[in-house]
Amino acid sequence: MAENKKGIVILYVILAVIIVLSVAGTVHFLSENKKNTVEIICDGVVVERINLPTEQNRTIHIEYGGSYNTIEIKDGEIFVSEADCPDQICVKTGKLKGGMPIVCLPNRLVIRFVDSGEVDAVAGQAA
Amino acid sequence: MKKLISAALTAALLVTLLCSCEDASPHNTDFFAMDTYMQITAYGKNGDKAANACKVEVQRLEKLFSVTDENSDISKINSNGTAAVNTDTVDIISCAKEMGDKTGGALDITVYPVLREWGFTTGEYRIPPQETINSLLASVDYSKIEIDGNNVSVPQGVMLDLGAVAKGYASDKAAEIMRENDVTSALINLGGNITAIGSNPDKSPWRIGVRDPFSADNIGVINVTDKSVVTSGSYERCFTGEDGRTYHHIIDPESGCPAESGLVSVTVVGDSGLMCDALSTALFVMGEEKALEYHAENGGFDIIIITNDKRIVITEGIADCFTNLSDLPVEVR
Repeated sequence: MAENKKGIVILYVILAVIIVLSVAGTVHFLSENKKNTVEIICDGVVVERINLPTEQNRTIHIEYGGSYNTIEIKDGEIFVSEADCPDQICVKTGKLKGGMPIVCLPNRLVIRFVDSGEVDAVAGQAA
Repeated sequence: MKKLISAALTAALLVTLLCSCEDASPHNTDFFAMDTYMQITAYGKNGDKAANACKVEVQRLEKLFSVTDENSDISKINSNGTAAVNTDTVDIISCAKEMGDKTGGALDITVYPVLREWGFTTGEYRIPPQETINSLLASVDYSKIEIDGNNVSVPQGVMLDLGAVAKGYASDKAAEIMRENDVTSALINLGGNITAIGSNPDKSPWRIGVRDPFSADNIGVINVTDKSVVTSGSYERCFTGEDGRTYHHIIDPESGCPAESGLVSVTVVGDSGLMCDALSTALFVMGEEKALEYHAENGGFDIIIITNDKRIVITEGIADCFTNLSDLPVEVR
């Protein structure tokens, strides 16, 4: 009988450890991944979700209402290399960093980190 | 066997509890309005409802305040000289007039004809001839706006543009909605015009980056709880003229030209989004000394000034909440 009780206690302990580890692991995994995940959103629709550090260098061409933005992924960084919008704010913004998204207002384009990282937001954005 | 089942059940209960202990996931809504990109994030059980209500409210205000939408209250005033308008339109115009008075005209919501001539409203930038600027300046005077009940009138040639105050007003309205919904943790980001509701869900203050006007990084981080943070910077909307010089969008209502006050950005931290928005523009126009004088006389807010000659000037009230990430010297005033 006593042995049976001991067995139950051990079972409880093992279960508890497994639960704690798996929850902690999931939380860690999710938060780690989010920090590097970039969304490319056109007119409210997520057109690409990218894990930036592991992404191959490539060029993404996005059209909206007859206008375009050319997005470049290069060595773990992302930026708008070319666009036909009049203000060119998206191009001038340069590489995507922390809390400030790359925005092209005329073409309804947003490139942003899912998790803004070091800061929660940036005051005084370009657009 | 029974015990085994109860153990399994307990484990299942534990997992459920752990996963639902707090609604810590953010409710996000993002959209384009007021000629900018807006992101609203709210935590807690009413977060989703409140964030969406904020979006609806901002879009409603945009329809009233837009200078390009010909059905807006502002367009009606601009094209007819007089119009019966919504209470919100009356409110924001009277607040802007008051801020115009307080800042000695450094904030002037009638500078629109000049701003338009420079192309800042369309993106088709040009340097207007001095005669054009001079003739347009004749109709720049916010004190000529008359408010009678819900009627707003302006003399011929005078045009309103709420660009310097609309986002601030909208952020105050959004903040009200958050509080009505008992949201204690939210971030309202109306195109870099930030209003923090409460603190982060983990009770730490919100970390708001202040842009480095000299690079694409943050010059520093300011930690805030229940505050608005608004920056006006000459780097925001600017163009290089045929003469090779850079012209920015913050027009000095006195000269009709981009303000040359020795500053590159002014960040205002305070309780009211509208006040922060209005002051960030006005204090930029005033320049360092006048801005600090205004602060000393009026109080109720704090500022971070970044000067052309690469100094950071910060008022005492927030000096402890600011982390300098740059190699620029910080002066506390």
